[in-house]
Amino acid sequence: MNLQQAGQPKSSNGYGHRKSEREGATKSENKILSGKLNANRLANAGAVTGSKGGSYESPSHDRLVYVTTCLIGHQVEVQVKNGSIYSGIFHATNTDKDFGIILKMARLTKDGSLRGQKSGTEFVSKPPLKILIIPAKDLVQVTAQDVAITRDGLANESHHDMHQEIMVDSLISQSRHVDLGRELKPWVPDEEDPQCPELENIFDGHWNRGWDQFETNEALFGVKSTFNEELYTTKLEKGPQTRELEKQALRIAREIEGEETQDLHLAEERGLHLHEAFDIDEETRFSSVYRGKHVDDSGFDEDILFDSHNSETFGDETFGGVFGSVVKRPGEISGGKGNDGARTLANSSSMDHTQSCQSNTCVDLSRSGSYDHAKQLASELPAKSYSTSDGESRIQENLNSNQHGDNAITKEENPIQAEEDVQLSRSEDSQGPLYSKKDGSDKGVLSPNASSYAPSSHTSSKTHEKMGSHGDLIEGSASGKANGETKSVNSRGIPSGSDLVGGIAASSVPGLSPSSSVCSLSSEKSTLNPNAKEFKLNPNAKSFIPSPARPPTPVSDGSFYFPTNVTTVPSMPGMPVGIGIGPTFAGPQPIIYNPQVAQMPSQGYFHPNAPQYGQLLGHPRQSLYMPSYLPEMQYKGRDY
Amino acid sequence: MNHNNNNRARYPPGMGLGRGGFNPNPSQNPNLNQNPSLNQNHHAFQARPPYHHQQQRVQYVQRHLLQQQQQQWLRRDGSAAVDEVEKTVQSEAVDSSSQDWKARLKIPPADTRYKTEDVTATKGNEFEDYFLKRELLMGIYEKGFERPSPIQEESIPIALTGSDILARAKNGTGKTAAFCIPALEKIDQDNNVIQVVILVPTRELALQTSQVCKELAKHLKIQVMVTTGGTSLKDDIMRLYQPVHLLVGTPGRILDLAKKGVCILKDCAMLVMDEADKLLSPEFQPSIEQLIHCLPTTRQILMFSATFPVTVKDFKDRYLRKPYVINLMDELTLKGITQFYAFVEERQKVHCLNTLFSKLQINQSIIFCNSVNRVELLAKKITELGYSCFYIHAKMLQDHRNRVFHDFRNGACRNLVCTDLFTRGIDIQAVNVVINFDFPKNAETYLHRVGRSGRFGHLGLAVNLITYEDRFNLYRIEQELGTEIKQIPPQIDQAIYCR
Repeated sequence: MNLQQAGQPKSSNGYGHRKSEREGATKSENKILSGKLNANRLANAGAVTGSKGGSYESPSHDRLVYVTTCLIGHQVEVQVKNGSIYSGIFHATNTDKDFGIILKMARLTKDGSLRGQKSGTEFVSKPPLKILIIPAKDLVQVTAQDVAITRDGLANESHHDMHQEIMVDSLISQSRHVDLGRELKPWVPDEEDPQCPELENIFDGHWNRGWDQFETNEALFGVKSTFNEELYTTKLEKGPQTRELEKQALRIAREIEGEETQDLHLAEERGLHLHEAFDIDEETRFSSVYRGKHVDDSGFDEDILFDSHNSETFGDETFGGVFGSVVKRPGEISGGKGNDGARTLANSSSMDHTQSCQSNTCVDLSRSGSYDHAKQLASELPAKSYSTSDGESRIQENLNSNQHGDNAITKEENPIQAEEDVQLSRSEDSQGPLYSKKDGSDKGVLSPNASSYAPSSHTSSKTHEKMGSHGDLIEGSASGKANGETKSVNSRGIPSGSDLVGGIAASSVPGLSPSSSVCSLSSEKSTLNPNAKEFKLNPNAKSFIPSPARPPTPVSDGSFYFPTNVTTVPSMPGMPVGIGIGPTFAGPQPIIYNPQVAQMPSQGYFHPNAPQYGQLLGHPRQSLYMPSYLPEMQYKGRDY
Repeated sequence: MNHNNNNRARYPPGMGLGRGGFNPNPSQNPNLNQNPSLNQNHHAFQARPPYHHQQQRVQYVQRHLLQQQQQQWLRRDGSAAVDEVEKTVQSEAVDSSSQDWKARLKIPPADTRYKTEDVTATKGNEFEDYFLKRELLMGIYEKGFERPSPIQEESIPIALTGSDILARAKNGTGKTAAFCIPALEKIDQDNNVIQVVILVPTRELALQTSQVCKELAKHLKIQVMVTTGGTSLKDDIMRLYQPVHLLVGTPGRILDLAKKGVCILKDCAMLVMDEADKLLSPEFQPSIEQLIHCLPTTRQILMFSATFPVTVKDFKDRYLRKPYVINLMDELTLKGITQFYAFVEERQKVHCLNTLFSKLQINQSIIFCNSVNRVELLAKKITELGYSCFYIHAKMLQDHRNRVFHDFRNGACRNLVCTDLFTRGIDIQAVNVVINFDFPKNAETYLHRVGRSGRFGHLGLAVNLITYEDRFNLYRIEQELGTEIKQIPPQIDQAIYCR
């Protein structure tokens, strides 16, 4: 009991601090973007699309996409910024303007944030994460072994399959990319051989049937025929003893030749000429093979399959997060537990359908371009090993290119955009798989949880009021921001021990403690209720400038990272200089000790939280939880 | 392309009889050459009476060897004891008579021209490794074959075991010998029934295949007959009343004869389908399927081609029993053939062709046109320009077709203008230039046309006259075949097609 009581203050301190960051980010974002961009869904989607278009033009980006595509499905090791190393199956990448990766069945093989044998052992023994999302800013290096990325390597693999299956023509030629429509250069006669009028128009006249090639060649070149059928077939015996057989043979021959047939080949062999009636040319008769309407060797079917698959992937990535959050809201409004589950499923299906319709146009354009790039990459890639750490510097090039390309946006704003994209994509990527994997009981648990917070709108207002107050303090303190960044990195590196807890964290903001989801859900609640929205904004007029149109929650979540980026950008010029590293390393030294202490109690906090979280289903427990929350907030304020 | 080969010996024009070898006296009847040989043998026999006893001993060993080989091939699962006896007998035969029969071979001069990896990338086997009959080995070596090509290495042992085969290999890499040698090996020459049927899509290819079989079986007593449309049906029926062991023909003619009971196929144990994808096109497939039903249930089916569209899979699943699939193609086009295009207007084509004739070093050339009328008009014009030239198309009398086929293959004439009648399977070693005067519409037509040069791994040249209307076919064919066709330069290095 005493340990639990001591642990709570630290947890609430971290939570409160993070919330303050978000509030400050919102205020700053409004100032910068006001008047330039509409803070609505459509504009945001347009910005993302524009970014994609720009990045597709970079050759190094194409190579990076190709190599990471080759890594999909392979076992890789990923090193993150704090020195930790994860081992897992490379699942996907987020190549929209940044480079985050997703691993499946990821296991922490080396923990760089903790010191001491005991702590390390505990982490290694934990079960692997089914899905681990590593954002670009944490990614240092990806290592893979025995992965074929060159054309030769891939060809060798296909060569092994060659003896197992008949290879049709299109597979062997691999539909090599040819520059369709390239300019053909005209043939130029030699100077010594100018135009010859007698060689033109020889096909205009009628064929002279009297011309005999054998006579002419014999007369001109002395060609004599030596054909003898016995060189090619059996000798034909003739004589008195075969007269009866000859009569019989003649009779059978006439029977065969007299039979009617519509088979072109049989007719031809019997001396009939049906080809002339059908006007079939000799290429069709003797060389080419008719394949019919529905059989195509050119690989067209493969394109269809490819597009279908990309449609699913693209749809999930782009709209999964948004519609995922929409699904929650009907659940909150609903009353009964059973109905909640059924309705949630129904809404999910409906949203999927809408999702597909909306993404139809985008899929065709972007995937078509992507496919073309993939083809070029396959032929252009040099045959040498490729390190993904180089890709990181190339990502930087892409960022610089974006900055130069977009004059309207300031340098400070560009990182904000990148961060928002990463945040948005991160949520979207994590939400789709989780929803598809959860069974009915899990959804049942979530829905009552959401509904249980409905009557707590009053408490939510109070929380926001306090957050505004602390936001002011953050703006005035640079060191405070640095602390926030450090804690953020540390907490993100800790894997969750429970799938349920991990799922909740992933669905809102990866790496955050479960407590933060309370505020997230409350925010959604307030956006649904117009009255609550008006009520909330009005009392806080002193703290920040209200915005007439509030952006959707996912975008809002991304905007909370603005202070971190602001801190990072000024630090960049100092990094190349060796002197700058010293103070940076020494400064956080005492701070690292505090998070370490905090983390131990934090783990302890998780254990009692599980039964307490389960108890939240009952009304009396809820009231008990809230009173203990408020005093911790006060403690955090005092400490700060 | 290997330019380090210092041997630039030019193959003399007009040479080229069959695969891998040539006849030094093409104008003479090859049968006449054998008469002096027979006389010489007779004289040698008379002059050396003391060897009479050895001759009898060799015959005894030979007969014993034949029995062992027959038993081995008939039983797919041979016991170890039989194999051991087989090796002992083989070793004894080689020890006692290898010098004699090899010394008596009439091997043609070796072909010293450059050959590409299409036929030289082998495991190093020899024809003797397959335990073939000695008389068949004699026929193989006297035809100029030195050692097996990759497709022959892969398919001859499998065919001898009795398995069905679906094999694809590049144009001109030895597919005909790959199925003729097992066919001749498995024929029991004392059993006067049709034991092998070889189906081909064109009459000229039937003549060629039959001739290859007859030459390989020179020292065997195997009767090879060819039957196709266009020739006298009465004469073919008369021939079938005599002993026939191997029948080569087009499906329609053989089917007609089989239905009338003239051609009895109940003892036919092997069916070979050359140019199998063409034989499975809609106009041939009904005849093929009816013929298969005339065969015994224990028949063996071998299918060979350089091109296999997806439609072959259906037939393979229905008629082949656990086929051994051989695929030696990691690319579709031949390594030794250089391909060029000349972008011309229609009225410039003859001028361009005349320029090619004056510039290129042509041993023999085949010029493809897309219509019968154009074939005849172009051949007449070429002859007027002063080049010996034949033409052939499907509307000619069969007698004339046979004459052109035979005389051109024996080097009597240097140029041949033809339709796609000559696109598949025709094997003329001396052809080193193919000109697509009219561009084809289909990728496999282009592949087979160009494959008339560069036979058996030799070098070749393909020139395509492209008009404005042909350019989309050019792009598509390049893409489908995974090859590159460049613009023709003012001067072409002879080393790329004449070595």
